[in-house]
Amino acid sequence: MNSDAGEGQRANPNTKLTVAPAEIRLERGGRRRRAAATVVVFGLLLAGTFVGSDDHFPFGPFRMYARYRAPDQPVEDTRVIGVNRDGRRFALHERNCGIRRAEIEGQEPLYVADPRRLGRIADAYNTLHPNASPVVQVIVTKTWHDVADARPTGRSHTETVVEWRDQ
Amino acid sequence: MARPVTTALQRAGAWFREAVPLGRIAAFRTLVYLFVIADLTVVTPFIADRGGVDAELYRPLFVGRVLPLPTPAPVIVTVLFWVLVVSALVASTGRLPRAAGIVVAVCYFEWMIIGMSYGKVDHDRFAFLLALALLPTAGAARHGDERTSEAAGWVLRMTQVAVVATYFLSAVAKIRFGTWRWPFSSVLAWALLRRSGGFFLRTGQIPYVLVVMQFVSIVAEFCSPVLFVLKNRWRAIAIGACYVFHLVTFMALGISFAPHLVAMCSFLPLERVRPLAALRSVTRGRAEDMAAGRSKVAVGP
Repeated sequence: MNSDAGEGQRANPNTKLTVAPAEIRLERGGRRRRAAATVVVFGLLLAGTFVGSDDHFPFGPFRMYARYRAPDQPVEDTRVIGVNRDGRRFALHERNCGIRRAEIEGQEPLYVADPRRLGRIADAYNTLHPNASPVVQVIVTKTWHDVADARPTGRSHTETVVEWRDQ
Repeated sequence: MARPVTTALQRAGAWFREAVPLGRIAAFRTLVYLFVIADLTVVTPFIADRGGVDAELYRPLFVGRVLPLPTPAPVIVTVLFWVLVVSALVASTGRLPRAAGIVVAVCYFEWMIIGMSYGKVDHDRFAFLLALALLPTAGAARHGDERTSEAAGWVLRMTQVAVVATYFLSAVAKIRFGTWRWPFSSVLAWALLRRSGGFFLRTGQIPYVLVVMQFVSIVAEFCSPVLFVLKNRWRAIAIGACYVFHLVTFMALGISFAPHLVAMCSFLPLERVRPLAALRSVTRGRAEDMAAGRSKVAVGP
């Protein structure tokens, strides 16, 4: 008799016998299907890691902050600014227009090639805020922060990347 | 030569199927499905606004181009939202685990495709998506059930491996996209400048702090499989360290990695967390105390 209760076992205080809870085991078919699924899932993930891209979500590479940025080259900080009819400027982001700043960065070449796409962002804001002064101008700016030895120096300058104005 | 390979495969299979109490998978199931609702409404609520975004900005991912997935129109997004809320609520109770679970898995996956098809893909979802896809295979499970199940164990083990893979393969991705120079890069400086300010940004200006942090992070990510080697208290400490790391990341950069943190609960003995049972016990104890108090009064002089 073993009075030591291991993981998954409980001691019966009356008899000092250990009683293992019943184990519900998989049948052979279930085991094989799960083994196959395991190989497929992690095989796809490995493939995505080594040869895939974000387009292959959810099996794409986990490339968060994976890009190399030279330790002595400026780094960019993109902002999306909305200007309403009253002239008020404010940041546009997912909470007020349903589009994330990073998404605009991700499609930046498309916005630069066709600034009218920024009008769709204004439309998205105006749809969510029908009672607010409408956004009539969208400006994408990029602030370049100087970096030395992989750390910020405190110096920066800002430039406009692309803008759209409602005619 | 074939026998050692067969033995190794059998051991691997047994490891993946290591049985866990059904109460654990029941608790994990409740947590995961309730988080789906939290994700829809609090964590990433902007996806619900996609219906109001012009279809011109929708750039479907590979799976969205291969499968006949619809362009997110307002009606589609709204219907999907409410189907997810209702099915996740049902699934969180443990009822209809297969039917409700499959509905949640399919609809949430489409929800993610909608969310990730506008120029940015999040990398904190894989383990959570896998958990959603596999939970329907665990079968029925009740909170507090001490019987152990291989099907339940497989679901949790797969989720655990996905959690560890997220860390390990992110280190691989850093080498793939950043090369071995990555630890010496200004990536953390860039992240802080984009998202942070005050204390963390000032800390980042101290020489070598960010480079050391980058080294530590990539080494820790490569070492993440050690979570499967550690036992009991040491594993709990390591898991706790992971949660602390993500807390600091959230404070510094505003990035929560919430779905990944929920999936990481697959490592925890969740069957021990039974708030409703504790509440019933307290309530029953008070009722018994009150009844005992009344009977003493009744037999008093």
